Amino acid sequence: MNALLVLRRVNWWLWLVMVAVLLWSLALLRSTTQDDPQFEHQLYKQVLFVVIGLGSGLFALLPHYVHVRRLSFLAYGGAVAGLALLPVFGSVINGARRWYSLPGFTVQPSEFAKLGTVIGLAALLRFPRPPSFGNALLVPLCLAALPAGLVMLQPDLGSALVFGPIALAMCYAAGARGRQVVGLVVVGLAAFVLAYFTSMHGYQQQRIDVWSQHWGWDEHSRPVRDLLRGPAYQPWQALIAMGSGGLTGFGLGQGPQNRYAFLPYRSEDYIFAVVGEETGWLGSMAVLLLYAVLVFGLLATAARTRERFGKLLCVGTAAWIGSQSLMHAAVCGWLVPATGLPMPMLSYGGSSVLATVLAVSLCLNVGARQEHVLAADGYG
Amino acid sequence: MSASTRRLWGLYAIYGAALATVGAHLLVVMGAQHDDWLVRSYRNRWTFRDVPSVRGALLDRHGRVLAHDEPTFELECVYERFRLLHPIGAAIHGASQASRLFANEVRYAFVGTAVGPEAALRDLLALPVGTLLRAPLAKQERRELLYSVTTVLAAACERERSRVIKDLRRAADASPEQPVGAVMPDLDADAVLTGALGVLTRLRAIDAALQTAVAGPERDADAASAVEASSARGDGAATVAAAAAPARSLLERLDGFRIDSLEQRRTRFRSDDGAWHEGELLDRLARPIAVELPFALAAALRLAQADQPGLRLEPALVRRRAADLPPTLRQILGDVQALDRSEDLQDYVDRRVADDLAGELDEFVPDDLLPLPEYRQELVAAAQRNYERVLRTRERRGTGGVEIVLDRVLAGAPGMRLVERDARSKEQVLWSSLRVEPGTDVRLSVDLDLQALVDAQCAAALAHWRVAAPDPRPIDVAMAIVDASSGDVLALGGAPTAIDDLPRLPAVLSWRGNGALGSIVKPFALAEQLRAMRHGRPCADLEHLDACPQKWRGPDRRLYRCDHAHWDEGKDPVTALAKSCNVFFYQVALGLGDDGLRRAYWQFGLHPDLDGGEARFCERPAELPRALCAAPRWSGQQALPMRGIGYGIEANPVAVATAYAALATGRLPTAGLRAGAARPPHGIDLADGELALIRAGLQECVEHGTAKGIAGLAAFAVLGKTGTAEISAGGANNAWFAGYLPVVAADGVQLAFCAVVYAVPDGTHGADAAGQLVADVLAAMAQTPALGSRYLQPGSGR
Repeated sequence: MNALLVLRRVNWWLWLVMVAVLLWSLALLRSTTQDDPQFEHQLYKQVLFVVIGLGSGLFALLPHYVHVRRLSFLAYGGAVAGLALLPVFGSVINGARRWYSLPGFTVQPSEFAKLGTVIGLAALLRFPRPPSFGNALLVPLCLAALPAGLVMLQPDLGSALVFGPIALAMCYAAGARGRQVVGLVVVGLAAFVLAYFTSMHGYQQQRIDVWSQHWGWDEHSRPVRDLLRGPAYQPWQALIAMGSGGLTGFGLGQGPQNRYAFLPYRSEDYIFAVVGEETGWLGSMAVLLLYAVLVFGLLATAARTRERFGKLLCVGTAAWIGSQSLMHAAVCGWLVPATGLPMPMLSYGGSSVLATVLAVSLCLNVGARQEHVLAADGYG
Repeated sequence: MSASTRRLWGLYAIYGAALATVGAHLLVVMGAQHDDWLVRSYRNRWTFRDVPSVRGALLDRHGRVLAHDEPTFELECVYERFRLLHPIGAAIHGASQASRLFANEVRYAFVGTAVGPEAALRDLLALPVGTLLRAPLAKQERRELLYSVTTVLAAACERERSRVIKDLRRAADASPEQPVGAVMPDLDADAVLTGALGVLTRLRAIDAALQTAVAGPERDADAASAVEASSARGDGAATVAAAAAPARSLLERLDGFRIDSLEQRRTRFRSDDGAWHEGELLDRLARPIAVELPFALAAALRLAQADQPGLRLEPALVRRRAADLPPTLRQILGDVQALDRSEDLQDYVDRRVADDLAGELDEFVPDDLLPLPEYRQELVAAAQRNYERVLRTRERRGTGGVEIVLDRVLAGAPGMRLVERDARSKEQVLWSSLRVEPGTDVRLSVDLDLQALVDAQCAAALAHWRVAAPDPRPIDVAMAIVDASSGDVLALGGAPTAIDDLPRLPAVLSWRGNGALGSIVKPFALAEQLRAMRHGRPCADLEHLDACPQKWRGPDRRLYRCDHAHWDEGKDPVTALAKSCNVFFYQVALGLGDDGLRRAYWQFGLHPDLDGGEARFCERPAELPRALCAAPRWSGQQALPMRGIGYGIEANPVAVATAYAALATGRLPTAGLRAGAARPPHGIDLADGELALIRAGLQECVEHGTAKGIAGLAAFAVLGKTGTAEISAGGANNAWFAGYLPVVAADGVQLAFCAVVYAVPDGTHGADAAGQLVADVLAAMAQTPALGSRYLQPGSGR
């Protein structure tokens, strides 16, 4: 199939949805960095990242994705190596070692590790096998657990948690039994509770503690006021931003929580709170619907794709974008404990934009090809 | 539907359910709870900013400043910022933390040598970089220690914190045993330590400068130059000056704050139910280091402030008094105090809040300002609370003397702004404001020059009489001078003293009860006698009075005494007044009766009340402090003849001077301390002839009567009367002299005065003590050209 035909068969509607999210991210960054010389560079950098991301994404549409399959274990291995080498070459920013510092910018390998893991799992699960626990769940989950564990060591609990839904969704789509998946989720929750008491950092425990307390607390009491100045400050301010936005919001660039810097990390970990404050519930739901269109579109592509690698690639990418965006929104609404997790493509960050755009582009590539089997697997 | 498709539908469903959950939660937060969160958003960013008001100045009658508000500065410390951002604070806490984590715990301090700041800096900078970055530590512990180290290094090397961190990382990778002080590529460890010690030197220079400023205002300039000089890098000269720090120096206060911080101490407050509660962490509060910093020192500190994070200068106002204020006037003016240190002020604060905010709140928090009416009510209540807080913390109130009497006039109203602030508390938008109202300047009736002169003469008289007295302690001196026409109090002289090392108020302020005014009331009894004769009221028949044999037996068979035997001379009213013949006034009193005598003194404001009559005594006009215009006392215990010569009646010198002013002008003025205030006088119902007769008696008294021995009085044509009141049988007397000058000087001012020397030894006559004091004052006035022309020479007055 020549390139022109492929481009003609690409689902450009999904592409446009992705571009819309990216453009919306630029508008939000304009809002979050206005009149703030300390952060105004973020907008210019993000424009560059978006341009590079979209260019790379367009380029990723052209070659047959079979090449990605061929390089899948290299992609996975590279992602794991990137994470593993962080303690050696990575830089510490805000007490965490998550980035490689390069001249002029930093690279966050955990974002590329998600893409690498999706590709690796898709390659592993592409052969139909008897749905035994080992084949369908244990091995793939171990494959996902390795990068997730490395991410957790950075420490970055939020990003590590995203590997769970990705792996489970791909395993389930590949044929794992539903009961086993549910059982694993239950075991995972139990392990999380155990980890809370045994191995979590103090600040992580604090985040869970204040989240569990905040549902019925008296914000005027002395202990709560101390919490609101300490570990509860960020989620509480985000909740104020969301709640005060109401149905229609203050207007872009007009949200006081954003303008007056009450929201920390508002261009990254709390970008959705800015959406809520400035565009209200309607704007927030519009953004979530854009993600829903993207996720449903990717799942629809998966449904149309009979070739399993491509199908699972789409499922993994949908699970990644869907789970991460919902977790980010839930964090901003303090529905779940606070964790530093960017909104895919919406938050400031070149690694996140590049990795996500590449993943979506690969899925569009898959959708444009509509292969039954891949020749490289020896069936054609 | 294939199995694969069914599974994808399962994923659709899971994602859809999660999306619906998040959406529903957001709908609750952003829809149902929107108002609550909007209010929280307002609370977050809307705040009040206060503007303290300047209190009105007190001026003398010629416009010279007696007391005024002066802008000054206070030095405060927010210790949380200091220990995090100041290299010395960071070194003390970082070294203490490192010793706790890696060795035996040592608590480094700001004061001391063995574990002082130098030791803290040396030990912290000697910490191996590998230990700092690689040792197994809790995340929070490592973060705090790393922050301390980077604070010290960044300040010592004048580098960005991010660069310091990079250098630390690089060094930890290359050579983990390297001390953190030696990780800078272009600076050796000694240079880093020297840089850090330079900051310590500058901190100690501030400490020394503050102590110098506290020691004496004249040394402020030296203190300021010490800070400026030490602001230059590498200057260690000021270190020596700080070595001998007295108690509660800056460094000692920082040590106190350090302990509060380490022990997480909090403020405490008592609730309405009496229970104690813990409040804010002391670590986070701005706590005072020094107040009333002179401008030069404050300016120097401001320049050095970038170097001293955690210390900050706050503008303030301080009440300054004129440097040459006479001691009695200093007492009369009283003092001011911050409201939060005043006791029993709730009523005052409530009244101020009600008065100052009446009708203002609707404008300050307008109806259309907020979308939520309930929050407007909350904001109005918050504005009132904030105003009360401003009153308590930023405003001052008079605590005595004129400052409290005129407080309503002198006190301004603080301003308040409703603003929108950002997360760094920086003001962004001004919504509305309550304009600050400065207090009104008040011109007092007191003449600063005259007051100083009278105070000096009182002090001299006191010294004179104390030398001669066997027991000098009860002796005291007071003198009041009023303008006979307006009642303006021109001077209230006294001599502040100490008894047994305890300060004692000047007599003119303490209004000593003296048992009796003595003979200075005789003109008023004579005036009533003359009025009674004119009106046909009961009175003595002057044609048929007994002569004065010195010892006179009254109708009650008691024997009454006079100083001398005046014989028939004593029957003449003028001579009786001039020579103070008691026998004459015993008979006048008996003729007038109790009612007549009361009326006699009431007419001149020397009787507390009279049934059915208006109150004439200075019933404390609003501007006159209570002590200066206390009500006269009247005792019915004394026999009627004795009351006729001034026993059983007590009044202070201001009241007596005012009564004599009535004899000068024919009207009883109302005494007051505010120049130009309208104080209507009272008529005294005396015909011109009657007044002339009394004045003749007063003139005769000075020229040939009981005061003739004081030549200085006659030299100024004083019309006056002496009084000598026994305050104990065979013991001390109170010596009085009261009178007026016949001269109406410039601006219509005519002096009336009263002087008293309390508890002079027995045998001392009123003229000898108090009359001499008046003569001395007049002589001194004559020798002072300004005062002479102002009060002693005839002017273009009435």
